[in-house]
Amino acid sequence: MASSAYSDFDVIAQEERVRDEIAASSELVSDPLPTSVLLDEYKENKDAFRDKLKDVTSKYDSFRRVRGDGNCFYRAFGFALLQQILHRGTEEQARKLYQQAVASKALLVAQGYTEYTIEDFYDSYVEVIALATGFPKPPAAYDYSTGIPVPVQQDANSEPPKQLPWPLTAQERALRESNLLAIFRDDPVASAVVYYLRLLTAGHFKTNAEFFQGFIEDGLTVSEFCAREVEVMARECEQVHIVALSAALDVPVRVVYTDSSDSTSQATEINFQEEGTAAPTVSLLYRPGHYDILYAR
Amino acid sequence: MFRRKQAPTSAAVSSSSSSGGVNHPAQAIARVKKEYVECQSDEGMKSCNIKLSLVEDSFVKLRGEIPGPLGTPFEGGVFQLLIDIPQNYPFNPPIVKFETKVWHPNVSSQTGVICLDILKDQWAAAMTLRTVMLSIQALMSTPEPDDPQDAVVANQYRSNREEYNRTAKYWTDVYARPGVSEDDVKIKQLMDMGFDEAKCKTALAKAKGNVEQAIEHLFA
Repeated sequence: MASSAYSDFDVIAQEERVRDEIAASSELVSDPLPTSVLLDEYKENKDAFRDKLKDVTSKYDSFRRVRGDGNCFYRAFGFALLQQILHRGTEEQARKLYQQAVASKALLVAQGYTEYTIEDFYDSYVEVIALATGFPKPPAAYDYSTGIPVPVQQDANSEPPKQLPWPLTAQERALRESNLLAIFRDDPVASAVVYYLRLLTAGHFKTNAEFFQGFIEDGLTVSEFCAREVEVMARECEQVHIVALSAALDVPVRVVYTDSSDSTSQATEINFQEEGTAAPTVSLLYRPGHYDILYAR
Repeated sequence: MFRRKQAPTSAAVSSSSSSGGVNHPAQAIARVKKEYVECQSDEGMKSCNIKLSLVEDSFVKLRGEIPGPLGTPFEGGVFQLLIDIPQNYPFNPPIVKFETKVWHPNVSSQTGVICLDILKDQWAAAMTLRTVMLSIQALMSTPEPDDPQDAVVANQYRSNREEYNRTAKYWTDVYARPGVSEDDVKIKQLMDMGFDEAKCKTALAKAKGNVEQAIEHLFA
């Protein structure tokens, strides 16, 4: 506002500087680290927080840091999901995840999103899903390279792209994991994948508006809530977002909560979408305001 | 389609006001092209007479044109907007401001900077330049004096609506009349000081378009 000493644009510029500083000092997704690193990080803490971290290290031996830029939940979820499907998924799970990814754009368009505004994000998402499942990337319907959408002519005689035999070989999995990590560390592709996960979350809120309305405060409608709290990059998530995304993809998510409240010395685990069938469980570590990826012992 | 390519450095990403386009990732440019093409055939924009055009064919600087909404003090005016595409578009909002001077609580009367939530923290990557233009037109119809950009205008809007309407209409007539050139605006400015049109034109020509020098000539 013009009436205060700092304009909104000053605030935005300041926020951008903070984000740039965070970006310069941390990777979008780190290499795996032993969970004991967390104990060292908080060795000054003598409270229940450290006890809970000890509890975490007893059950999980490693973790990956995810950049704290407001997108950490989506980024952590996305990378952990693809890694789980690549290394531990069954063929049936891979097919389910792949098929729902391919079908998702039409569902979002049916909910009112404009196709050409979500197309790029969809393409990036399908690309990483194809990479993690070994299923072929579906041919593009339009060529947008010039900015002018031109329907892509499919050659009727050409063989459809082949699916790799499942399970993938260890060598194939290792190669694909390093490619996935490269994509997740590379903006703007990484942002596109994160943003598509936001859209899938918003889409689930909207298709189940009646259910979710009860969780939304401030008198907002589900659409208004999505516009403010889901579809905006860098907006942090709450539990209800986790409920929505894990249900949208039918992926079980376990969040291990740590904080300094001393009612218990054990980290609290909450399972979202317990019966999820599209992937093995994705485990995330929560420290107040932030999510990282956890790997069980 | 988002292709993997060399990632921009964080320094490049942060300078959001760059106009060159050489530092913009191909993804950002492709997205703007797509939006630009869609806008040219968009019925909603056509019916509102909203136009979007390129500045120097670069796709990182564009110009918008919005007719003043009917039934507002902006009616009859045509308002030009300058649009800068940041490097991390569409994840960050376009930088949009009025080039045409406008008297409106949510627009700086000095700089043309606009106070609109979707140009700031409510921007979503699924929004487009079309969304922005339509929202700015809606803002012209419905000012939000509680979230002002220009405190003076906002105060006037709240305390003396008649005077606000008069001033806004006067600014529309002076600055936003279609077909009015920059020189016409300057001549009007000089004529408002009590000089006749012919003298003002001569003075402005002598001063090579510099209003302050023209004033000196007139008073000399």
